[in-house]
Amino acid sequence: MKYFAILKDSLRETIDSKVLFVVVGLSVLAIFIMATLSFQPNPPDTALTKIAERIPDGAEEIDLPILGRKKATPSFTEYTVEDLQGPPDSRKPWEAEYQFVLKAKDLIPGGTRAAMLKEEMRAEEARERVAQTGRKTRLRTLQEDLMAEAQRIQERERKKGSDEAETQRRLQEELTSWFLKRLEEETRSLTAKDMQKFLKTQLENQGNWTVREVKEIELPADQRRVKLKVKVPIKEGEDVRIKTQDADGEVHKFAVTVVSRDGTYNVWPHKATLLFGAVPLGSSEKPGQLVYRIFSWGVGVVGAGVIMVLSCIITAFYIPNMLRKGTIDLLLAKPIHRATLLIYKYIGGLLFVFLNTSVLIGGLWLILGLRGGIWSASYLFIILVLTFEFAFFYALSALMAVLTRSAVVSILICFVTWGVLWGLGWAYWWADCKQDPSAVQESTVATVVRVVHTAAPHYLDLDWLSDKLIQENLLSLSEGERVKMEAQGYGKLRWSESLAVTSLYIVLLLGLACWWFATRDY
Amino acid sequence: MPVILTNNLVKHYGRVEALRGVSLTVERGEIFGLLGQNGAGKTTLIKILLGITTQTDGSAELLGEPTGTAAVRRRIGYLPEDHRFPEYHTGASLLDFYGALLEVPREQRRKRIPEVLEVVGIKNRMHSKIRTYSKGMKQRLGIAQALLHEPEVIFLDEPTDGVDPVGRRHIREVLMQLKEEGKTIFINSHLLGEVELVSDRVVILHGGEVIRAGVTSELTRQRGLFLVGLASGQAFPQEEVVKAGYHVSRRGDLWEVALTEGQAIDPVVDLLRSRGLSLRHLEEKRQTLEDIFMETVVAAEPALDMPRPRPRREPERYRDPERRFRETDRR
Repeated sequence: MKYFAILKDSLRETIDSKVLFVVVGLSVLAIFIMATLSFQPNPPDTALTKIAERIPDGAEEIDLPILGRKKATPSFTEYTVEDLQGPPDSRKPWEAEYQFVLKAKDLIPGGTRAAMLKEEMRAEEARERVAQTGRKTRLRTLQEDLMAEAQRIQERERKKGSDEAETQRRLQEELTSWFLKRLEEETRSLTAKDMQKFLKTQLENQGNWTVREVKEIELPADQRRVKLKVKVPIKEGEDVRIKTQDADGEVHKFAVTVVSRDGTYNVWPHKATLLFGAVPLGSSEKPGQLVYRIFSWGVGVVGAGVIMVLSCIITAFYIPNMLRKGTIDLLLAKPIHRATLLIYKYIGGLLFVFLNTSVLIGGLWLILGLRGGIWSASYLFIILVLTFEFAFFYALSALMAVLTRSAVVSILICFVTWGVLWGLGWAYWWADCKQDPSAVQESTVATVVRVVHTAAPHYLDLDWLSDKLIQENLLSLSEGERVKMEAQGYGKLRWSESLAVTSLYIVLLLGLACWWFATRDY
Repeated sequence: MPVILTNNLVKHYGRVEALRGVSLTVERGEIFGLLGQNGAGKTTLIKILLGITTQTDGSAELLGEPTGTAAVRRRIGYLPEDHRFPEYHTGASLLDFYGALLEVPREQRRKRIPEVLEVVGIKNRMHSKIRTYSKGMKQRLGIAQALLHEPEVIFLDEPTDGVDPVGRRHIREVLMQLKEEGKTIFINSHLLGEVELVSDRVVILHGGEVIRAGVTSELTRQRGLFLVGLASGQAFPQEEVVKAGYHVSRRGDLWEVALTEGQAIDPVVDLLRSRGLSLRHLEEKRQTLEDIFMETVVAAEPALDMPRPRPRREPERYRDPERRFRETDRR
């Protein structure tokens, strides 16, 4: 009874501060805006073309905030869909079996094979980065061979007595020639079976289908060849001129049969709009991707940030207010243990965050489920993660409050710690998770960062793990995509470690706060 | 068995000695007054008895148990000095919160809260936010929360602070009612007149030590000092009374006759009558608690930087013998 009374008292204090209404109001506004989100599925012909365009075509892609992944360099090949056979237009076009011809046309000589090779090498590298077997991947072999060739040319030029400028010129010319030749050999080594396997994996990844068949169609020589216009840089003295030349390319066609499965909807291209169609968000958006972006940026960064900052400020006053002379005397004269009193006051603060995040995330989960058709429990789990993250900061705030009785000091210490842990999280990513581990991982600084990170609360790791969880659920990632994500740094992070270390800190900070509070004279 | 028993209580705050061996007992059903200057150690003593602060040495028992246990706290009520109630509560919700902490069942709280607020006279404002209460109302609310769970012992630190005269009288009546119900009340107040009116016994603390203790009525009674007044125009036979062995001094229109050990006032009355004088005023002079307090504190610390107590000026009514007699008769 008395424990519930303390929680009720905290709730009354929260309600009285009016901030709860402001936060809930902002959440309701966000939910209302999301309620205006609508998805309209692309018809099968458009949708399948869009999905085919998602297959890696050799272009370099970069991740842009909000906009997501965009192509940064020209494509090597072009994928299109022909002879589509499937059910007529339905309200749920993703729930069907389709047969079609996937056409891959070179945009540069050998472009299709080069694009496949590039992606395969990248995937192989990602797998090795995660598995760390020590096996030499094709990409590493290529890099080492390139280095050996460069050294050979340098040595030869040194013996000839060439000056530096001449050595540089020879290096550039001979290495370019060596690289193109090597690439041609590598791409020629790709068999039809390799290409079919590559496309099967890609269709599973990009369309989230069960791929029944991918088989290359034998084409007559005239249909197989395609005339290309390629732009070639021609060096004229100090200037470089771009010249268009004729070249031969290839066309490949594959007979494909795909069937929908769980999660096909999440990646099926949709026309997405906001504010009941007034604001177009894209004509071929993946619903899962869009919901992920809303969560990752809207909730994970903006919403959670606002809630955490406001919560840190508001709840920082709970304990100092309780410790004021004239207030604490009344409470300590009651038959309740001091530690119990403090812990329930602490839980009251956590409830504030839990309520706010529940309203925001629960509301968005409901509305996005109703409007977008995506019901993933993963982002309801984020309510608990955010509350847990706040539990650490609030334990720190509680300790500062009993030590200093000052809300301002508690707030400042929380914000400074937040900044330090944020920086430490990124430093750890740099030291231990970054894609190129070679030099950085062996430095003393990296070792220090790793040790400090292991011993410190894993605040940012929890953020990233939550992000990973949402991605896995909303983006319906295939095994290959998961490996890629692991290789990007997520693979090093563990829920068990992050939760255990952070929990230890919560217990430690709260224990110290309780001990101090229980043994002081008031 | 005493309700409160302390034995040689010592409390140090760093180098500051707040209590230096305080021993006292309070019996059940008493109203006990704790007096002392600021910094005398009164609040420290109360906090030790409540378990809010721990003693450096000595022992203290409350209701036969060591102080500070949850079992003891359930049986005591406490109004601290300078209390600050959370202003987001209403009077009723605050009592409900404290009642829950005191483990008063919900049904009982529902019944008891309006009752106790009525006793202190703020029932009509029980659903208003505390931030809208006047200082006096907050004080009454403080008393209400101390009485809510019908405790056996009630500690009141400055209970009438900020309360108007009507309210003070009301609070006095409440205290007397509680005493009749057998409650033990421990009052710490600077308003010595208030304490004098209600307390059975008092203790004066000074510099962390008990420097005087006793039954209030005994302390305030000053043996052997009478004020005598005669009818208008009659001269007081001062020389004859002095010859009879009494010390006489004038106090306005009255005469103060001091008795020495073994003397009575009756020979003086007989002397006045034998001289044909009309006695219009005869009163045994009492000391107030304030007199005792000032006298005791100054005696305990002669170098104390405070004004010396001056001889009391007689009230206006004593200067008019006729009026004096009227009032004496009325009594």
